[in-house]
Amino acid sequence: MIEVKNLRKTFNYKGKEIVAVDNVSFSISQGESVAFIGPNGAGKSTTIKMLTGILWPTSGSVSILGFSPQEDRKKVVSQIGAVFGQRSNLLPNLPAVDTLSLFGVMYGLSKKEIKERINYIEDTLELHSFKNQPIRTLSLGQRMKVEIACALIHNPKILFLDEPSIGLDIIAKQILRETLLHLRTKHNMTIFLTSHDVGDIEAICDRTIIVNHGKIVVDEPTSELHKLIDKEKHVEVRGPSLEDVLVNIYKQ
Amino acid sequence: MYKGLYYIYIVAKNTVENKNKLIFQMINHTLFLLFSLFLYKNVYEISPGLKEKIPFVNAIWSMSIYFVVFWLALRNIERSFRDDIKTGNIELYLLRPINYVWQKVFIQIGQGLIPFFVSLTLAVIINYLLVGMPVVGMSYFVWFFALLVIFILSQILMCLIFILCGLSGFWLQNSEPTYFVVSKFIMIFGGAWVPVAFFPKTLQVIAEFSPFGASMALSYAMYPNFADRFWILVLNISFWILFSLFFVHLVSKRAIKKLSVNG
Repeated sequence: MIEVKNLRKTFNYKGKEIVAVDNVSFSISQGESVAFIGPNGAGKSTTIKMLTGILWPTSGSVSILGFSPQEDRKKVVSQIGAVFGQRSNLLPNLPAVDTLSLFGVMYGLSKKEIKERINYIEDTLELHSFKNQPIRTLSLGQRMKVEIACALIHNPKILFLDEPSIGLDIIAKQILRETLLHLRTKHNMTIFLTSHDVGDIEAICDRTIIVNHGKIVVDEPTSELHKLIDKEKHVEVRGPSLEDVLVNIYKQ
Repeated sequence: MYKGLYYIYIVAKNTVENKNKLIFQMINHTLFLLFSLFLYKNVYEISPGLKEKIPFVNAIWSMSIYFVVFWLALRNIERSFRDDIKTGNIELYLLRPINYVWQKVFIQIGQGLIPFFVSLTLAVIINYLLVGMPVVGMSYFVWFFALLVIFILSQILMCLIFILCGLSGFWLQNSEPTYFVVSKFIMIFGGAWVPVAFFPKTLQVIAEFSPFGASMALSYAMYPNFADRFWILVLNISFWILFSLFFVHLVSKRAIKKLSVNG
């Protein structure tokens, strides 16, 4: 589904070459949910931008469902959805339904298809209670749901998420995680996530790729990650985390 | 076509939701029209010889039309490019199945459409009531359609000019200086400060045949000799459209390849 081979991206700054992504290779199959993580400046966002066709690689190749995101941009964008946590696709003065309709039209859906997709997404993401409110009146969590709804309007096969939980409070994060988990388990959607939030990764992703200085340093199932540093036996005490406690209090 | 029209419709709907802003803009527009009318009336009284260059009524219509086109604000396409490059928001547009440049044009038309129509209505009413219809040398019915042709062509050219300005930002990092020079030339050669009819003859020809003047040819269409000049204006604008289209096509693909958005 996603094939990345020897991907490299360099930027020139004042005559100096900066290597953002250095010879990265991996593949992701359908239904996989992959976290692509690393410290700031590791090359996560640059990689996701090359995968979605926004940036052109310096060398190497990317194949999304058999197409190059740069050369076959239209074919690729009609098969993928993307959510960038720091940016918004929404029109502030209009209700979600209008933005969703606009995206439906952009993707070439018929009026009937748009109506069906909106109804389906409303049910899946539980947008009913606020779908007719102007976006500017929604909470951050509700807005993020609408952002995801926009990314799903054309029924994409792959969902790319670049730090989707950035700036969200605990409740909004939980809503986001539940939504993504639902898409993964019920719809077998392929998810490619970059995030600094370990909670997001643990909740959603079954595989984690860690990058540093533009190179892949770890590519393991998420459940196996702790073994990389566990040299001694340990005792695990299970109980509600502080995050669980806060969510509980907020919900009351 | 349908995608573009729907895009424009949704953006216009989003813009018009902010009614207070629109009302404030139109009060501003009305006051400006009345002020320029008062100013020109006094100028014509002091210098009666100006009537031979262009009748008072036509000068007023020419100025008003310039300010009506101002509300369509296609020049903002450049600023929109500049902001997208600076903020990195360009990545959102590149992820959509419509060409980036087209989206920017649709958004700008959507944002300017309602202020444009309201300001046009206000200008026509104010001018008709206070100074009457301009001298056009043809039937008003034909004049209307001739105006429409000039309007559409000149606005296409205006779009292309500011798209080129915006695209220059992919190399210059900041296209503001280009915008500043181009927009000032359009203002001068479009007759924003004084009608081009008041210019010396040589400068008039330069203004009219430059791409800057051609993009504001609607203000020339208010002159009494419009009927004689119609086809020259159409050919001149069409030439500059083809010229600019060639460069937009040449530059836009290279610009997107050049793109670098901070991670």
